Amino acid sequence: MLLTVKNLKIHFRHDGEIVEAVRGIDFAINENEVVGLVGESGSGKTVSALSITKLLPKGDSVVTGEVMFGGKNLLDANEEEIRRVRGSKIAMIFQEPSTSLNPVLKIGEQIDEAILAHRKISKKNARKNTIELLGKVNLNDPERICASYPHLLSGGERQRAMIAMAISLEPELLIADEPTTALDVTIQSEILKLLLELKKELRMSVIFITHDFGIINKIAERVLVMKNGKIIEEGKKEDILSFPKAEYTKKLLLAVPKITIKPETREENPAKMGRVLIEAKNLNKAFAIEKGLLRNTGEKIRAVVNVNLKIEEGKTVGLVGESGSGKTTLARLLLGLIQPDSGKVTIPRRVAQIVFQDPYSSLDPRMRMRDIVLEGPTIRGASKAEKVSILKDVLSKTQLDYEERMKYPHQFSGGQRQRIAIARALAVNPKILILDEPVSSLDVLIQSDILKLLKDLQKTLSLTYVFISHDLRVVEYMADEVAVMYKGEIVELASRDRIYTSAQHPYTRRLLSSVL
Amino acid sequence: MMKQIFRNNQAVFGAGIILLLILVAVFAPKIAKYDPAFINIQSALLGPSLEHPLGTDSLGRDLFSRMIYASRIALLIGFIAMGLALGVGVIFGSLAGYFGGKTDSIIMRFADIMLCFPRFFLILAVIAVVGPNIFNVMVIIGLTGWMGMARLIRAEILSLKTRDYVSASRALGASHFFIITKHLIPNGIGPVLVSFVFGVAGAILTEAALSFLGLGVQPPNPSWGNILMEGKAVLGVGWWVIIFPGLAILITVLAFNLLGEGLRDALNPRVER
Repeated sequence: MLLTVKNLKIHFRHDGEIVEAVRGIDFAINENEVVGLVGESGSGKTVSALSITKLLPKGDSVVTGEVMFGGKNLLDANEEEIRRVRGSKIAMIFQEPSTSLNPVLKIGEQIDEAILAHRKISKKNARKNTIELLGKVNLNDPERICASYPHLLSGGERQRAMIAMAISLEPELLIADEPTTALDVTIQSEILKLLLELKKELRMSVIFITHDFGIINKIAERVLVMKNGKIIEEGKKEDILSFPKAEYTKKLLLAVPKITIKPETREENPAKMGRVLIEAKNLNKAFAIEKGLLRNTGEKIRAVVNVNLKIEEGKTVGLVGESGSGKTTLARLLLGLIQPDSGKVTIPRRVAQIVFQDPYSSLDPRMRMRDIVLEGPTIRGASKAEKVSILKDVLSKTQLDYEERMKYPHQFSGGQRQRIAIARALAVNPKILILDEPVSSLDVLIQSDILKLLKDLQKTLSLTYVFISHDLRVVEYMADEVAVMYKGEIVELASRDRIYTSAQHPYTRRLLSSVL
Repeated sequence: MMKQIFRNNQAVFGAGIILLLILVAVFAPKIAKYDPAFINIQSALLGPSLEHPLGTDSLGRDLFSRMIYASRIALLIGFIAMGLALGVGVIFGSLAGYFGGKTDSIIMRFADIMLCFPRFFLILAVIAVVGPNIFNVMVIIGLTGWMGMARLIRAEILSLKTRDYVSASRALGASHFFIITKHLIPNGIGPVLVSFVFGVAGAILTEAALSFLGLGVQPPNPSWGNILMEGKAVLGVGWWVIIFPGLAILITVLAFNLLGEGLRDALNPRVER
């Protein structure tokens, strides 16, 4: 037994109230094993992990119970003892590598520092060690990475550097808190592979916190499922994935989007061409790079390159690609929010609306739900009576409660906020909805609710969707046609079944092979 | 947010004093025993007594009554001058932030030029030309105090205008005016309100200084500044004429500054409570 947690309870003080975030959990981690800790946001998985090395803010939280590690209860350890454990025995990596690295220090300096904090070796040796580590996490050209500031690296490189730092002292336990959530799929699968290799090589244990059963399937040996601060199911990965016992686990597993198309089930829709609603011809858009004091460097990023796209009425086009591939820019071009440098978009006026990824930033925090939903009709000068009927109508379509119309956005959950955003778009009777990663920041159960809602709405209102996503599993569920974007270009555009069964472009194949 | 303000003791203290001052100013005729301009040479320079709680000045006017009427002027000038500055600052700042480019350059360079002049001497010079009276003092303090607020709201809007809800609003067909007034200003006004509260304190001080120099509120209208000026002449024989208006200015400015700091803390999530 490497780590034993007994009856761990965590209370938070929040606005004068005491909230019980973790309600008495027990678990153990063996040597050299990967344990997946799964749960939705708010289930207490991250705070449980943070409390192991006493990283929770002191004043606002009370942690009770027992965390036995190396024959000691870490919860009783003093600041000096816990500091010696952190980093050298138990290391952590986090979701957002850009915020866990110090932006004003070079990568090399940061890793040196981590090593020097625990080991009495010379600076020169520490640097040698650092370069070796960066090689170990498969970073090309470790010397260059060493001398770079974090912002010069890509997201994947940063996460690798974080991992290098975490394993620099050969910890016995690595706590990985959603380390791949912010990364593109192709990079995600590489990072997971790397973690598995390192685990074998260094004989360490890993607690892998995630909300994604796809990742669990790939990496974990044992699984703990958390809900509302309790562990509701625990077992071997194979057992949990194939024969879940708890109702909640079953529901979670069912909600995981999967690619279901098999070559033999392929049904080619007869090619009856509907009315083309949106047409983009030779679209180009570039952004100037502004840097430092002199601003305009003359360099440009070509965000959208020679894009041609036709979208038929009532169909869903999935727009797939990694971050920076130009999906969102294309969406904004289609909507007319920005003007193309060259090329043309043909779209009926005022019929397209947009739903964004982050329901926290897409709703004005100072407006009531009613006013948010009715923004479109207000702008178009609807009368009071009209507004009431529109409000009732769209709220029932999006399954929101009319009684809650006077609440502010922060009083709603993530899923409800996304419904509000959809209701706002529907309030002006659009024909086209541009959905920019509408479910990427939602928990899986809510994700499947929203996807189902979108499908139902499409049927009843005969809407046309442009569905932007990096998640091929979700796109498979939603789209009739799929356009794959890479570096601003549409590299492949075909019917859904075609893409998922016989993709032509090497990039599409790479994307598909990275899907978990 | 209101909750957080009320939890902040110094903000509540400041707000309490300001409320008291406003009540005094509104009900001045009820509180004051004498006409503030009533001259009675026979009772000149009497020390504080039951009859005259704060004594009388060199012309025998009741100092308590004059101080109470002067609070009207101080608050009026503070709020109206800064209200004017707030209006001009928010309009210029939000236009500059929202439209960017040339509009931004022109407005902000104009603000920079205004900031180049030492503010008090600019006010003095303009007053010397247009003549000292309450109205002119208010307008001039207001028109020389908007630059900071314009900068603040511009900075807020620069970051707010890229939010998704603004894009969604544009997709719904909203006009620039609608987006600025319904989304951007309500979300970006916080820091400007803090600056407004500090600005009121500054405006009251400026008015006092101007009146002290004889370029602000003109006698016989009472203002804390011109009571001070008159008191200067009789400093040796009537300490009360200069101490009490001085204290009034001190307490008022302090109250506004405390409220401003409380507001700032309440608006800033990073400040530990």
